[in-house]
Amino acid sequence: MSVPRPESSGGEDETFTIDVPRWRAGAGAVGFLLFVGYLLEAMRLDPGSLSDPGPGLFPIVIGTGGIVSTGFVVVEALRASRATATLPKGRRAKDVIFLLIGLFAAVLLLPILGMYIVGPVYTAATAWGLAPRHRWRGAIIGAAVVLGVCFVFTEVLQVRLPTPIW
Amino acid sequence: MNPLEGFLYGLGLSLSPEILIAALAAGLAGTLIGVLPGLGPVAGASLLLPITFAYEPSIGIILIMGVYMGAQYGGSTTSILLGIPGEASAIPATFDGYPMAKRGRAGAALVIVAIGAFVASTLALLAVTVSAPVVSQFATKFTSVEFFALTAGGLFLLARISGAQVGAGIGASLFPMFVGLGLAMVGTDPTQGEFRYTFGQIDLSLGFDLASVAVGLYGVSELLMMLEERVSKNVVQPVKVRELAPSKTELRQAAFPWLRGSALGFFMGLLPIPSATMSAFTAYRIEQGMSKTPEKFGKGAVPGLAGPEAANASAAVGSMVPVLMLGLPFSATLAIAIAALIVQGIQPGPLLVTQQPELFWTVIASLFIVNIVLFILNVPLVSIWVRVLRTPRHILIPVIIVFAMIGSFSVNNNMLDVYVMLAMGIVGYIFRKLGFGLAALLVGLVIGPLIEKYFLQSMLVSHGDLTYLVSSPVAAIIWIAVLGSIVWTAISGFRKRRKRATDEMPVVIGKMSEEE
Repeated sequence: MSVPRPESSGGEDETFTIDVPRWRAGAGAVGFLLFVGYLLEAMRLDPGSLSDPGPGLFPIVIGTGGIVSTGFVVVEALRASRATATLPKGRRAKDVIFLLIGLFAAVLLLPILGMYIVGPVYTAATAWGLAPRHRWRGAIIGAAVVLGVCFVFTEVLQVRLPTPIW
Repeated sequence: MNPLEGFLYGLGLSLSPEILIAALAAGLAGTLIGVLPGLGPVAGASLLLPITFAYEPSIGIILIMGVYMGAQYGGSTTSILLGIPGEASAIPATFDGYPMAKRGRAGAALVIVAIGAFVASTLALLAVTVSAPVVSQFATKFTSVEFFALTAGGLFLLARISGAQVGAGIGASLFPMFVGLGLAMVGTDPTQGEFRYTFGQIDLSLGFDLASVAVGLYGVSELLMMLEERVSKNVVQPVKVRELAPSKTELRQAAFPWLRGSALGFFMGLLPIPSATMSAFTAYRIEQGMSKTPEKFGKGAVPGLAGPEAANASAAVGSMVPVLMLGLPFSATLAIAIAALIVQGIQPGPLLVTQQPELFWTVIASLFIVNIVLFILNVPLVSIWVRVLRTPRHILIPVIIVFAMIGSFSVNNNMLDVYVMLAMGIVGYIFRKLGFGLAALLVGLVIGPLIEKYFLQSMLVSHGDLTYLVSSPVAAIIWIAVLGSIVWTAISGFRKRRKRATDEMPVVIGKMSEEE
C-alpha cells in the first residue's frame, strides 16, 4: 500500500499525466520478453524429473509462471478503465534527473576514488544542485554530515567502506 | 521450560550491556527512520542488516525488530504533527491525530499513541510468550507439504492482498511476485551446486543480496518520488511539554480501543497479510462503527487514534510468531529479520524454541525492553523529532543515499550490491508509478529458496507425485484459500464490468431513441 503524497500546490504545470494501463501493458510486454529469456536459460539447465529434480526444474516453473503473469498484466491493462499517474516536468523533472545522473556518477567513481571522497563530493554537489537558495551552506553541511557518517561506520562500527584504487 | 520460566530466563540474558544498548539504539534509530521521509522500516532495517553480522544473532534480531517497532512510533509522530504519515500503517493516525494537534492537543495525541503502543506491544508479547511454544509443538508435526503450502500459498495470498494498486488486476499482483522468485533463483542451485543465471560472474554465485534489493526498491525509489513533489507547506504543529498529558476523559476514551486494537492486531499479525497496515485500518472502522458519536471521527476523536495505533503495534509483534515459529515472513521487514538469522546460521522454525531456547527467549524478553525504551524516550524526545522533520530535503536526500550505498556495499564488500541497489531503485520507481506491488517482490526473493527446497523435498519423498502437495489437511486448506482468492478476483472483476456496462446503458438507449 503506498503512502499518500501531500498535495502539491500549483503542481499542474510541473507534472504531466500518463495513461497507466497503457504503460502497464508496455511493462507487461517487456516482462514477457524477459521471462521468455529466463525460461530459455532455465531450459539449458538439467531439469531432471519430478521424482529426481534437477537444477533447472524450479526455474522452468518460475519462468512459465512469469510468462503467464505478464500475459495477465497485458490483457488486464488493455481492458482496464482509465487511470493516470503523474510524471514530473520542468524543475521537478530536472531535480529527479540531476539526482539520478549524480547517483550514476557516484556509483561509477566509488571503486576508483573511495567513499571518503565520493560520499562528501556527491552530497555537496547534490545539495548544491537541489537547494532553492543558500546552496553553499547546504553543500558544506551535507558534505560534513557524510564525512561524519563515514567516520562512524569505519571507526566505531568497524564497517568496511569502498576504498580508492591507490 | 514453561513460558514464564522461559521469559525469566530470557530476561536474565537480556539484561546485559550489549543487549540493552542494542535495544536503545534500535528503538531510537527506528523512530528516526519512521520520522524521516524516504526510508521506512524496510529500507532502514536493510541498512542495519550488515551491522548485525558483527554481533550475535539475538542482537541482530533486536536491532531489526527495534527498528520495526520504532518506525511505527516515528511514522505516527509525523502523522500527528505534520498530517503526513511516515508509513502506510500510520495513515489512520492522520485522520484524528492531526486534527487533535491542530486543536492544540498534539502532546496528548502523542502520549495516547505511546501508551497505546506500549500496552498493545506488551499484551502481544505476553500472547507470543504463551502461544509460541504451543505453535512450535504443533508445527513440529509439519512436513515439507505443509511448509510448501505455507510458503508458496502464503506468498501468493500476500501478493494478492498487498500486491497492487486497487483495480490493477491479478497480473499486477503476480508479476512482481514472479520477478522476486526469479531473482531468488540466481546463484547456486541446492541440488547439485550448479550455477544458475550467473553468466560467468562469480560475484553472482551468492545470489542477489536482500539488503541491496530492499534499499533500492523501497529507499531509493521513495526518494525519487519525494523529489518530484513540491516542498510540503504543512506546518509542523508545536508541542508544549506542559500539554503532554492527556485529560482523564481522553484516557477513558482511549482505554477500550487500546484493548480492542491489541487483540485485533495480534491475530492479524499471524496471517500472511500486511498486518500492521490492515489492522490499523480495520481497527479504525471498528471504532467508528462501535462509537456512539461516529460523526466525531475525522475531527479529533480519541478512539479513532487509540485503536488503530494499538492494532498497528500489536500486529508488529504478532507477526513475529510465524517468523520465529515457522520461518515465514509475511512482510518485507520481517523478511530482513529472517535474513539476519539465516546469515548467522540459524534457521527459524518450530525447533527454535527447543533447540535454541536462549536465542528465542532472549529475543522475546528484549522486545519487552525495546518496548519500554520506546515508551520512555519517545515522547520527551518529540522536540528532536520535530527538528529532524525540518531538515531541508536537499541535504537529507543525498545523505540517505550515501547511507544506502554504504549499507549495500558493506554486506559483501562488493560493488555489485551497490549496482543492484541502483538498478532496483529505478525498478521500484517504475513499479510504483505503474501500480505494481513491491512487498511480494521482496518476500519472493527471501522465501523463493525455501519454496524451492520444500517443493524438491516433496517431490523426492513422493517420487514425483504432484498430488502429494495437497495430501495434508493444512495444505489443502491453504490451497483452497488460494483458489478462493483467484475465483473471488474473477467474480469481482466480472461484476465490475457488468456494472460499468449497465451504467452506460441508459446513455446508449437514450441515443438510440433520439436517432429513431
